[in-house]
Amino acid sequence: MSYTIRKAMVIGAGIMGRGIAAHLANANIPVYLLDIVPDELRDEEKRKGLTLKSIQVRNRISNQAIRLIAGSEPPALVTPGKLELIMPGNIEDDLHLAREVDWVIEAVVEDLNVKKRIMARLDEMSGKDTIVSTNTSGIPVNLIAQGRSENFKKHFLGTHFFNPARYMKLLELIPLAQTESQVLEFVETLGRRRLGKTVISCKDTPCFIANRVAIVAGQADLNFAIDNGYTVEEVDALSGPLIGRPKTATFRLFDLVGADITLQVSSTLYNAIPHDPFREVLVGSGSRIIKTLVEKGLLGTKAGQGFYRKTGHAGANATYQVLDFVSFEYREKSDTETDTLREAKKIKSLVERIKFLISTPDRAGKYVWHTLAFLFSYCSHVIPEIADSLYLIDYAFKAGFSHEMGPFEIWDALGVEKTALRMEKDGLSPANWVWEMLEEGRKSFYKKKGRQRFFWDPIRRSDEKLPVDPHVLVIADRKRKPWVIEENASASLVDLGDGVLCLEFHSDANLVDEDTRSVLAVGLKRLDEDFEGLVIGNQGKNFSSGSDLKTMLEAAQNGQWKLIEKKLQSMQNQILRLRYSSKPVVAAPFGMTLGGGAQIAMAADLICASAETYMGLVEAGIGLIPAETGCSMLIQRLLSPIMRTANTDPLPALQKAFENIAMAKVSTSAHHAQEMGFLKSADKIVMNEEHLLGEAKRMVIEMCSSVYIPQVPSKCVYAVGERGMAFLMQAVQTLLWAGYISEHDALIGKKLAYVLAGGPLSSPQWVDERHILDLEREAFLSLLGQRKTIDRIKHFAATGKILRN
Amino acid sequence: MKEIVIVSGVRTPVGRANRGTLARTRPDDLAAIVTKEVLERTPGVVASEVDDVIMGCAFPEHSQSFNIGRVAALLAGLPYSVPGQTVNRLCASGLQAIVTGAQQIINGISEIVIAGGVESMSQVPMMGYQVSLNLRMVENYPQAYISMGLTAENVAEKFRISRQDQDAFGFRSHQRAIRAIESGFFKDEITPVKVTNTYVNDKGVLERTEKMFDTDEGPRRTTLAKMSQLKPVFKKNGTVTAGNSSQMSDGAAAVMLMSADKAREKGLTPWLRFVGFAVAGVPPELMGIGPMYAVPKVMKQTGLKINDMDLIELNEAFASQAIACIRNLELDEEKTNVNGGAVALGHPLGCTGAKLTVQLMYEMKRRKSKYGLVTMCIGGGQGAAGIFENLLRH
Repeated sequence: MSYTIRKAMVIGAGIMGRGIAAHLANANIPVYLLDIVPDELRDEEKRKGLTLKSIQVRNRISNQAIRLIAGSEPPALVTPGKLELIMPGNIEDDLHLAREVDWVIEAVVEDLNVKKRIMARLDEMSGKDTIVSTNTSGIPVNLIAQGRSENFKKHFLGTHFFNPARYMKLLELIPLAQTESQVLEFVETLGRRRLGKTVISCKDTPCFIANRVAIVAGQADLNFAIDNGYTVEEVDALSGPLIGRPKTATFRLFDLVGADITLQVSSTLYNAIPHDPFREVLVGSGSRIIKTLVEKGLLGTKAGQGFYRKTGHAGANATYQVLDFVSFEYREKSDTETDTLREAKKIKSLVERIKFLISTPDRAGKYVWHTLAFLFSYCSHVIPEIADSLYLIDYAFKAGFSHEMGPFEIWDALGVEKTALRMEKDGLSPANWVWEMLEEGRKSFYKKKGRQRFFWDPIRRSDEKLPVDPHVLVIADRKRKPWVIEENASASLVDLGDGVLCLEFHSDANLVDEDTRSVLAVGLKRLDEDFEGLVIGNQGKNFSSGSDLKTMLEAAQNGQWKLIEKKLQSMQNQILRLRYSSKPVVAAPFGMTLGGGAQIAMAADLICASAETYMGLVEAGIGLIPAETGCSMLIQRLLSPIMRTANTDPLPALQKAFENIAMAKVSTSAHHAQEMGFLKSADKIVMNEEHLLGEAKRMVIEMCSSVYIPQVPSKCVYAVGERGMAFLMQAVQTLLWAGYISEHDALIGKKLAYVLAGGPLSSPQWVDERHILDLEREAFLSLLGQRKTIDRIKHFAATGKILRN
Repeated sequence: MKEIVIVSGVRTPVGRANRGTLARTRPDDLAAIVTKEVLERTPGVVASEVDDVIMGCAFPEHSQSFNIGRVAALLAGLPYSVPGQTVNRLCASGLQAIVTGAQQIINGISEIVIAGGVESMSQVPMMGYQVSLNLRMVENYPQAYISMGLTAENVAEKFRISRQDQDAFGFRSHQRAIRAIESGFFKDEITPVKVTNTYVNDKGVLERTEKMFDTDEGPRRTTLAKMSQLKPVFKKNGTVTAGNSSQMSDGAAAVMLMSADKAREKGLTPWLRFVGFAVAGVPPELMGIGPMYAVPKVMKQTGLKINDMDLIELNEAFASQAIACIRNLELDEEKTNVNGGAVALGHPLGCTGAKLTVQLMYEMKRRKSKYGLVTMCIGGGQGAAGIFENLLRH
């Protein structure tokens, strides 16, 4: 049996159900979203003459859920257009639709009996080959399937998504013993390829992998903090980005989850793992605090107060007070900065930073050491109960909680034996298999032979191959001789094999600087001579945060205008060479893709973008306009294609291009970037970021295998001329009069209007892009000569924030 | 000089633009409805006797293009021998059409004229579709193209019209309009519009709906508290909101004009006498004050005084400018916009002048008033004012 997915159904329109339905829609899968039928009419429904039989009433809950999806923040959908793929329904009238869908995901309340009742009905109603899964974070999946038919069980499994489903990368699959292997494989592939998830297969043990470890370790951290008199802000300063974890750190995460949920989950887990000696941490001093929070209604973010209390304004200006564990009163945050923290923050490498912290004998060092040691110890002890393979725990932490490194990876980096001995001394001993591994002469959990990575398997007592996803291409694997063609601090040229060259950015924030450009220059030459095609991509945190303006700023302050003009021209020329290269070029943006980075990406023949691409030409924020072909490129994408049709009005598209740049708009997804005109309709969007580079390489190979027709310079820019200028300048004037923009914003806007319109041409004209590029440089230079622009650039460099002067 | 009279007049109900009932109804169809109806309400005049159909329209493009006066005449079933024209003085277009008709009769160019105004702001937005501003103007005198909302803010600032006063004025406009509708005051002047809509429904089936639309849909049962919570829409920290501005609307209106002699000859009862008309220019950025200059001008021209006016229709483009004009001209608020104004009833640009004239006709008849004034401000910085005498007062 081969499975496909044409349509899906999500039952339960709560926060998880909504998130899953939205993410299925993101992957272009039409989905029914069902919830219960309300048993009472609302006043407004009565006024409209509706009854409990009216469809509007019966689907009220799922309709409301769809509205919540539309308004969710951060957006659950990659573009509002996906909303129409989510169809409302209710479980009384519409469960029969399960017959026509390929996958039903149940995400109702975490109550075994409710889930079982739904499954009993689905057993009758779903199609012979319909895959049914339950989204649970704690209930054993085999209990949910109890009493179901054999055929149902063959097509049944647990699918544990994390909230918010669009953004959290982990998907835990929990098959039954009876689950057909094709079903598991299908859902795994679907999850990985189509939904973009890191998929791990789990045993049906309490809370599966990620939550099991995180709940126990999280409670242990809380106990340690309380027992040793650490404060909320102190702990969060130590357990966030400093040690490779998200900003939510410890207590912000507790607040997000909610004290009530924490209490419920940890007491359920406590009862489910009587065999686990570590479970006692769940009833330690931390649990008493959590109970008190629940009693006092201090439930966390949803209640506006938990470990933190929000005071003052909402949004960016919000300030927070913290809970005092002894008095149970809120107080102002104290300064958490210490010499240790200051020193640690200077260390770039995460591993070196952790090494430094745990070697420091002060409170900070003790906290970091203890929490890591506990985590390492617990992870070692739950193997093989929750997972046979240790890498699954690392995957779970990285994908499920956005940790930079998993527990075993950190332990490896700190030295397994050294760390194990210290753990032992501190009463946090590792599991026996760790000692056994060391006795076997294995010094680390992972090791690498050539390109193959291995992990230690404590059951077989041997190295096992780390499964390789054939779609994942890792640049780091090719970063050695003879594949590294050129390299400096900011960028590298790497031979990806099959005739494909890769230009990799790796400067600070992947800024495009002089070094990047010199590597690009070599790349262009080598592409011409020795390669079939080029991929521009990297595997850092973001594709690129833009061009480095340091040298420009210096030159401007020294009045070296000729030099700046020359530099700009050479930057433009380089991008044109890329654009008119004789070989195919594919850019693979992901995450922040801004300014100069976006302009380089747009020069490619095609873009292969991660669904999570935040793209924009944001130069206006620092008082400039894009001058590395960005203005020309956006006109070519938004305006030129539509103007091939006679009598089309160019102003709406011109206005769109103008607003994108003048308001420094950044896309909220690749799909959005496509709507904004940064991506073309032929460009590709990839859901799984890990697959991005491989996919980009494949696109290059595909373009090579058919006949590649290079672009040639032509009169490809539709310049609207003075009508366009007049329209945009009047709009700028209106915003200035209305007090929405500053005088300097208006100046930037008017310069931009001039560039985008192609100057005051008496009538519209198709022009060579060189004409627009000349105007780009002219406007850029004149803005760089403005004191307020210089102030903006300096302010941004110093604070990372936009100065509105 | 020939005495010009209006013998009949009619208007469509006014729909709210974009989401309202008339949003999908073509403006030329609306213009044809009032053209046909005003002819039917004038027994004794046959279609071929009409010498011109003049329609005011502020943005005569798209579905309002191709000389909508002529299109309306043909759609209304008038013979091709009846000519048509379109006049444009933006928000005064409807009044200007009546004046143009009157002039043609005075000059002997025409004897019987149907004049009115039409606008579908749903189908043709403010500024129109193919906006093309003169770059020289933008660079040297951008005020000429200033957005109307900003002029309202400017007037509010210059004449110190508070947010509270604007909201209270807007609220009263709604209350007066609702009372008028409930009292049936607009029943006679409105000709219902059959609204049809053909579309693909949720089930993918082509569906056609039909309904009769006969009541102005702008007025809202709002509260002052709600209105005062609305955010300013045109200017940061401004005072002009969607609640104290005129509504964008769709509608049409028309009157039948002829000389008093012609009316006598046809055995028709003259209803209103056209007394006088004036337009005046003001700074574009303060366009809302237009009536402050147009009204004194028309008074001087006709030798009448503001106190002679028994009824006044002052177009409420914005509460701020309406209040400024009322205060400046010392208008009696009990005689001004007695049945509500554009804040509640809507402002279908090119239609408004004709619509206000029709409203004035029926209300003057009801009140047995002698003189009535129709006045409005005009985008770009003008004001217009027309005076009519009620001949049915005895």
